[in-house]
Amino acid sequence: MKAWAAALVAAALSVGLAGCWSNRPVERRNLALMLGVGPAPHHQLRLLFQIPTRAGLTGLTKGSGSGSEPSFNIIEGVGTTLTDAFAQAQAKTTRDLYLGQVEVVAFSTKLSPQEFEQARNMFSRLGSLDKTAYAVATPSVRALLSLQPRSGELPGIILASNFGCLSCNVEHLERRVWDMETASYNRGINLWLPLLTAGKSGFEINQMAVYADGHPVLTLSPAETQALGYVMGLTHKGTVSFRWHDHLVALRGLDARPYFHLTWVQGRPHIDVTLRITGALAEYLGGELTPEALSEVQATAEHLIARRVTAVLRRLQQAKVDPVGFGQAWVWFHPGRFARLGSWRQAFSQAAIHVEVQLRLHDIGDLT
Amino acid sequence: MRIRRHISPFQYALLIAASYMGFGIFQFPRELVQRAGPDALWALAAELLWALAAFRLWIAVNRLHPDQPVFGFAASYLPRPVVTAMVAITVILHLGLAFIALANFGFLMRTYFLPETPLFAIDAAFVLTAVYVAWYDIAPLARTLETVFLVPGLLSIFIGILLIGRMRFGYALLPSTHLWLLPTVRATYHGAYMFFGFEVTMVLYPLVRQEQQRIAERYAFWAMIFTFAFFLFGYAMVLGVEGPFFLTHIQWPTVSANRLVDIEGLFVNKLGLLVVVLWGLMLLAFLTLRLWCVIHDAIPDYGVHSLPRYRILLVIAAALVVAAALQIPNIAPLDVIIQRFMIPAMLGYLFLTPAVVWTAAFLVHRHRWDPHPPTPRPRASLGRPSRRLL
Repeated sequence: MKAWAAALVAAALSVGLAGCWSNRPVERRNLALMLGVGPAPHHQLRLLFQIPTRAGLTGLTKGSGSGSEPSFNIIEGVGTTLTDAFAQAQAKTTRDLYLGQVEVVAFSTKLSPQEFEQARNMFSRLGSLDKTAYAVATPSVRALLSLQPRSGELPGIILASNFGCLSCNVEHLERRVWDMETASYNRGINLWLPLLTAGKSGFEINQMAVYADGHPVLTLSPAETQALGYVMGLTHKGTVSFRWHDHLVALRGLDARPYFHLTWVQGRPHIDVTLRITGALAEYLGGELTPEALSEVQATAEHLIARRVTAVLRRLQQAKVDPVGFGQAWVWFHPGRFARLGSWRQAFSQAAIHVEVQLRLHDIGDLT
Repeated sequence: MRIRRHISPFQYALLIAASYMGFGIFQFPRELVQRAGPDALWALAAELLWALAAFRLWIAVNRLHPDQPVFGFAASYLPRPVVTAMVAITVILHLGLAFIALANFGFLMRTYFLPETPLFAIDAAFVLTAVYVAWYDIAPLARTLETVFLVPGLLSIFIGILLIGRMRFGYALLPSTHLWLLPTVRATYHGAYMFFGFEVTMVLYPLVRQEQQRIAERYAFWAMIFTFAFFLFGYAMVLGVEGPFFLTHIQWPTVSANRLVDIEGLFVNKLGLLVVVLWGLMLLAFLTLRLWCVIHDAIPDYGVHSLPRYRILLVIAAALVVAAALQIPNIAPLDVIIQRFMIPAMLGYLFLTPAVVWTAAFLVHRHRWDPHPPTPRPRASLGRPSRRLL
């Protein structure tokens, strides 16, 4: 009796909870590695799936490309909603479109606020979409998804390894679908996404798109992105070059620890930003490197970085966007005052911001 | 077939913890943050306070006659129809908690893991397992829990530590210095489901040997405090990772946070999701206890003592739970059922039932309780060999 009962329970569990019911062999699925959302004519949405081919997957396992064969296909669907677009794309293939392996989700910067919200909402509801997939913004979804890197590797895998590596880039611009959701809902902070462009030599990832109400209102240049990266703790391999007493000086490996403090003075926020930066002296042609000279070099660099950071924060203020989240804690702990204030973005645009940089060069090399 | 009569103090504490942990672990702390805002932490502390207070009330009633289930001796102090009504309410609430917990987990499994598996297959598999565990009465469940709690518990803490790297909203973890009383009380009320279920002590307490009952009580109180610490840790992780405003929009905040744990290179890279599945074991314990209690609460009043009858009732209760769970189309109405009906009903029940029994006993004896009251007349079923239940 006991054995029968155990067998019955085991059978029920295998059918009910082990996933056998919806199990599909992998060769009967189309595993999407990249997903793109862009606008289509007549107020419609375009959904693109980058599906690796057998050659692409084989190349992946071998660690190299497989000659002339493309490593991926693009399947596309268009519809008034993303669900319609998905259904259209599914109708173009006999295999099940599977989103559980998506590595990168790209959003066109040309999406209207409503279209962007539609996409965000749908992706949030999809239990099968991995929330840890990387989220990026791009001017052209089609161009981004169609780019075949020269190495022959799958683009989704290249991007995933790039974002997954903390020390690979000057700024670590990793954003997940999850981060996009949290930034969209939480108050006192604006959403930002890395802006990816498809260049001739591959992907370029050194810019930031800052969103307000579902629309990218500000695109920062690579230099601005690096400066803001200090404030957001994203820049880990920053560089700065300047002239000091007619000598060229370059610093590298700049890594910042940001601290900020918010106070209210006569109904206006005052934000004090302190950046504790460490780095290395890369080039110095100013003669003997005495402690006094080094101190002056550091002071000059501090001043320069502070000016750049202040400039980018001013641009954010002009655009009324706060991707850093200076006001988050205040908004959370003072719901009554926030309700009277109405909008953190407005308050931020009028904030007095003071930036202080404390630079320490830990490494000056093997030269005096 | 011999039925084990006694459970150890440790097993008692585990069973009490299992009686509430499987219910709230998936949804908490949404209501706390939604209604108390920055005072959510104080609301969480208030949850522990009411739970400790109500549990202490139940223990006080248990101590009246430590060798009998509450509804076994309640008839000595209350009119029979009142006790019958109490038993009926208890059975309905047990079934209600069981079907809500089952439906909730079924929806969760369908959303994240088994989108194409019919709900009845998921729910039936769970309930069938619960019936299997409850089939041989309390001993297998107690033994299962001793191993079941350790693995998901430790793994959950490990996942929490891994989540620290994903925290973007650490500011929200600071306790608020302004206490808004009304929102905090409201949040405590709406999040009270976290500790629903410990009334099972009414039938579990007599299973502990009398000389060990005080130790068992202590263990159960400590288990409650440990559970609170576990919830507090979960609260910090979930709030820090999701942010206070996004958290209130998520159906299963703890599950969403667990989904973010992804260890590249490990054979189970989605370790967080594995932990969610393991939490299913807590739900399993919760279901099993409810099914077991439905019958054991009913026994003193209706005289169903034999094992075959127990099993027939067990299957009927399980079928009812599955049938009720399948009537709910999705999670939205389930939330309404929990908030509008289950919370007031359970809170009223958890405080009023022991209060009524204790007051009635007090009035009958007209003095405060002797710590060692005379044992009431033995029940016919007690002391019978093997195929009898308590």
